[in-house]
Amino acid sequence: MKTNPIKKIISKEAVPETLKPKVLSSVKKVQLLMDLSDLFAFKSKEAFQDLLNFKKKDQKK
Amino acid sequence: MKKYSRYSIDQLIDLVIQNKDTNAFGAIYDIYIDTVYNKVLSMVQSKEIAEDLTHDIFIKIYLNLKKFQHKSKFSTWIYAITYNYCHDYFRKKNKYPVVNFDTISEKINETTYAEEDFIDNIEQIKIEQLKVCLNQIASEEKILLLMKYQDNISIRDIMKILSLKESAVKMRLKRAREAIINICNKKFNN
Repeated sequence: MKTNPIKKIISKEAVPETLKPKVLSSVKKVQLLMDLSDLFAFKSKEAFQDLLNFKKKDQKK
Repeated sequence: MKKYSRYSIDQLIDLVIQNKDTNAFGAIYDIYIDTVYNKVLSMVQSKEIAEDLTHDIFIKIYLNLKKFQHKSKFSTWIYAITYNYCHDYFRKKNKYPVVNFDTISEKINETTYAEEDFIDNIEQIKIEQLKVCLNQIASEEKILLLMKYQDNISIRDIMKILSLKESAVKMRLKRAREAIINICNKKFNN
């Protein structure tokens, strides 16, 4: 059976312990930004709808 | 964090997507961090850069989790992101190539190494020697060899991951095979 030496050259270094808190902190920040952006997008949509309704009302007058 | 150990990977993904549960993402991190970090480290050869890239890769995984369509194993999808990110890193930093393997290939050996002969050839090379030689070929070629011969990623998937045409992937793999064998021959007289 042929053995592929490239499969055996994976390094096995320990992962720095500081990395996980950094990643999770960044993930929380990213999530917060996404939530804020969703909120803004939602309000923008509402704002545009209100604006259009206001214009239609003006045209009727 | 212990309560997450009883969840499957699909359940963890659902928890992250539906409940925005960052601790569930922490559990996903725990499962894949060793492999991702060591893959990155084997490509960049610097612990500091590997740490930064691994951080960014996990953020990218988090941002793209909704796009995972269960068409492949989750691990394959994660490794695809890892390779793609490292490939982009080298491209942007313009860190190709340390050794002009095209010239070496022409000067040392005109033999082309077909895919089927490649394992036969490298089987005779010691692992430590292979590590040294892998660090001397261009980063892009190293990434391709690791994708194909370490993770058994198909040509079709490599095409998708690196946004390359089939002919480009095959040609670059061929050049990478030639480069690694020629460098090993030159350096260690195998």
